This record gives sequence, structure tokens and C-alpha cells, in this order.
Amino acid sequence: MAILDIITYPDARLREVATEIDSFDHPVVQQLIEDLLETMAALPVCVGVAAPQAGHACRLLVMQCGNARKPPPEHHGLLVVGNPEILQWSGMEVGREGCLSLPDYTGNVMRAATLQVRFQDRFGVAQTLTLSGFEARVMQHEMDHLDGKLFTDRIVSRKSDLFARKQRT
Amino acid sequence: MNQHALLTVTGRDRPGIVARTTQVLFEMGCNIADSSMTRLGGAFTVMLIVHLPPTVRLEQMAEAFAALADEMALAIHVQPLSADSLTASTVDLPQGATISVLGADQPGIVFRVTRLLAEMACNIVDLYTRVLGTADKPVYSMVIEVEMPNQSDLPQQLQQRLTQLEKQLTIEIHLRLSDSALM
Repeated sequence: MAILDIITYPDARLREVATEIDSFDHPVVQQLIEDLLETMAALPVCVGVAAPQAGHACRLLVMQCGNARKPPPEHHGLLVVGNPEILQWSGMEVGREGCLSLPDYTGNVMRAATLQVRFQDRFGVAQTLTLSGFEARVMQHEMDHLDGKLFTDRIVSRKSDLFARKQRT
Repeated sequence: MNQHALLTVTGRDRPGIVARTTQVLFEMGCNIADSSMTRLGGAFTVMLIVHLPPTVRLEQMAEAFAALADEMALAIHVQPLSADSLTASTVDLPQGATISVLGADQPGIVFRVTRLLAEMACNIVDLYTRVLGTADKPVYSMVIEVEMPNQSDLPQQLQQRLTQLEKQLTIEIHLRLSDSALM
């Protein structure tokens, strides 16, 4: 087990499209899963880490929304997510995000409010989950890392945020 | 030694203000650090922190901008900044929050809300207001981002005070704590 170094912008590896995982029973993959979990646990208020953030270009991420300072009322706890794909999404919400790979920076990002995701768990078994709210946001943020995208690519302006508020009232 | 300056530019809004301002900076070899540039009503305002190269004196920069001010009918001000004013003072692991205010326009909304925030040791990092609605029924909207000391009962106290103020002013105030979670 090891706590991995998180690479930060402008490291070019954050912009790579990660490759699919073929065999989950490979010791290297299992080791990486353990290391990502340990890394997430070691970082304060860290709710998710994607493998590319640790310099590994594979489609793997771990999440734990319970690590948030104010965890959402409902979430799935610890998730190990390999080869995820979005099957369905609905709704749009603006929310604030901060990224380990862009220290000291947060921004408002528009994300789907509800998400149905198919992925393989740490044993390679196919799973389908429906996530909503903050947990859906974290999943989308981490999945973006697998495609070389950062939340800054999706930032919305303060002005559009203001208008979104106006429409809600 | 490198010098730093705060540059402010205001004028009637139209295309080209940012381009011409930053052209002057670029041609002098100045580097732009933090900036805020936005349209307020019919005016455009620019505030930016500039790093001057060792070869350029502040007076030269001021002269160059005096010429641009004449050319484009802008109000431009250059003031020196000390190196220690380049980074913000902040508490350890501050709790961030967004406060949004919406209500019938009336004098004192900004003052009363921000006085309360100051009393609660909430530091404003960004504030944006806009008058919405129609001319005869103006609606005032304000979005404030604050950093507050990471003290567990403070958000609750702030919420109580804001709720009182909401009733006094008959406006809506929403407090949303930012989840500082990292992903």
C-alpha cells in the first residue's frame, strides 16, 4: 500500500484520455485500487480520486462522499469504479467544485443532477447505480479526469449563475 | 527589483477596452496577475494587478495610460502595490459560503447585509450585485462569497442573523455553505 502523489496542473498527463481496464484480477490493478483508496483516505475532505490524478492513465476512480465536511444525506459510501459509462442523465445543477489537481481553486460548474452509471467494481463485476446531487457531481468530475478534462473546462460565469438563481425564485 | 501596480480603467462600455488596455501592458512587457473586469450598467470597469518588468518605471506606465485615457475617453488610475499586498490574508481551512440576496430594491441592502457579515468576522472575497426586474418594479440581487473562520457554530449563528434581517427588510437571503470537498 502506498499514498500516491497527486499530479497537478499543468502536468500534461491530466489531459490524456485514459485506457480501459482489461483484467481486474491483475495484481497491478488491484494494487492501484488499494493505493487510490489509501490516498483518498489520507487527504482531508477528499471525496474522490481518479487514477489519472495519480499519473496512471487507466479508467479507474474511487469515491467516498462520506468524506465531505457535510456529507449528503444519501450516498453509496465507498465506491471503486472501473470503466464507467453514463447510461442516462437528467436535470442540471450549478455547484462549486474543488480539484486536487488544481490546488487553491474552486469554481461553479454545471452538472447533471441525476445520473445512471454502469461500471465494473473492483472484482470486475458489472454494476449499475443511480446517483444524484453531490454524489452525481463527484462521479462526473472524476469521470472527466478519465477523458483528460478538468472542471475549469466547464466553468460557468458568475453572471449566468446569478440568472440561474433568478429563474429558480 | 520588480514592481507591482494596481491598474483601474473605467469608461463607457464598448468593444476594445480590454484589448487596448492589455495591448499597452503587453508592449511594455508587463505581466497581468489577478484581475476583475466586468460591465456595470453602461460602464465597463477593469481592475488588475500588474507586474512591471525591471526596465519599466511606474511613471512610464502611468504616462502610457494617460495617453490611452485621452484616446479612448477612459478614466485610468495606476497605483503602486507593495509586494506583501499581493497575497490575501486568510485563516486556516476557512469555511466558504455563498450568500444570495433577492428582493425589492431599497437603500441599505448592501450595507445591512455586509455590516452583519463584518460583525461575524466573515471576509468578503467576491460581491456582485445587479438590478433586475422592470424600471417601476426593480428587484435587487446580490451574490456574496465569503470566507469565515472554521468554527462549528458560526454558520448556524450567521443563518439566524440573516433570517432576522430577511424579515426586517422583507427580502430573501439564502446562505449556502460551500462544500470544500476535493475531487
